[in-house]
Amino acid sequence: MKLEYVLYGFGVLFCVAGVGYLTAEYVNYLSDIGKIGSLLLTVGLFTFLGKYFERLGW
Amino acid sequence: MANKHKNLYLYLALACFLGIILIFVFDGYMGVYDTLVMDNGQYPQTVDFAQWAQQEDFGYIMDVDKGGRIEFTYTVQNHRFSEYSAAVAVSLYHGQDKLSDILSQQITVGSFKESELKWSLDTVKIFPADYPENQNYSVNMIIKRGDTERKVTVNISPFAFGTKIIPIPIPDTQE
Repeated sequence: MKLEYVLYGFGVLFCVAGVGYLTAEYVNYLSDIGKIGSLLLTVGLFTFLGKYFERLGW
Repeated sequence: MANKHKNLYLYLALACFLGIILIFVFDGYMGVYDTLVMDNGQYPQTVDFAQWAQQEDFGYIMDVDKGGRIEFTYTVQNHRFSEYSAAVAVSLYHGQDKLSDILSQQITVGSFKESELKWSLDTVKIFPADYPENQNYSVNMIIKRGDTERKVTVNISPFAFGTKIIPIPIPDTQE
């Protein structure tokens, strides 16, 4: 059972790393305004996700 | 209703995520892009914006037979809401020495439109008369568009592409 969670953890980690890598590559093609917009929306994304989980009682 | 309010932050997070995706798609499309098509009469080669970005330092190599001709088509696409204007200059270099100017022109591209420039390179004219016949001769073609610089190395081969060199058979002297 615990081994399964470890494997899930690895899977999630690799997915996040892969998406992060692709994003970092693609960001090079964005304009400065696009980069700032993406950064602000990313901050908003994690803030709202945090509030959502906070409301759930996490 | 209470459930909807409970998920409000989740929806806002999803909206932010969609916003990021939209910025990536929109901003990736917007901009000024250039494409070069090189046709030596045997196989045309296209270099688009992404390939330029990968080969920024080394440029592209185009092979042509001695006596052959390469047709170039340079397309500038303006994916912006405003007009784009720039001076385009094409020059030939051998090492650090400038051989000639091929083209110098001001282009103006309307919003979400494209402009095309065409020129050709005749290898007979650029191959030096005193250069060894059996050696490759390379020239660098530099395309300057505003602050952007593209480099293409034209490699002139003395042998026709696909020609097989068959050694002369040595007569059998043992008999």
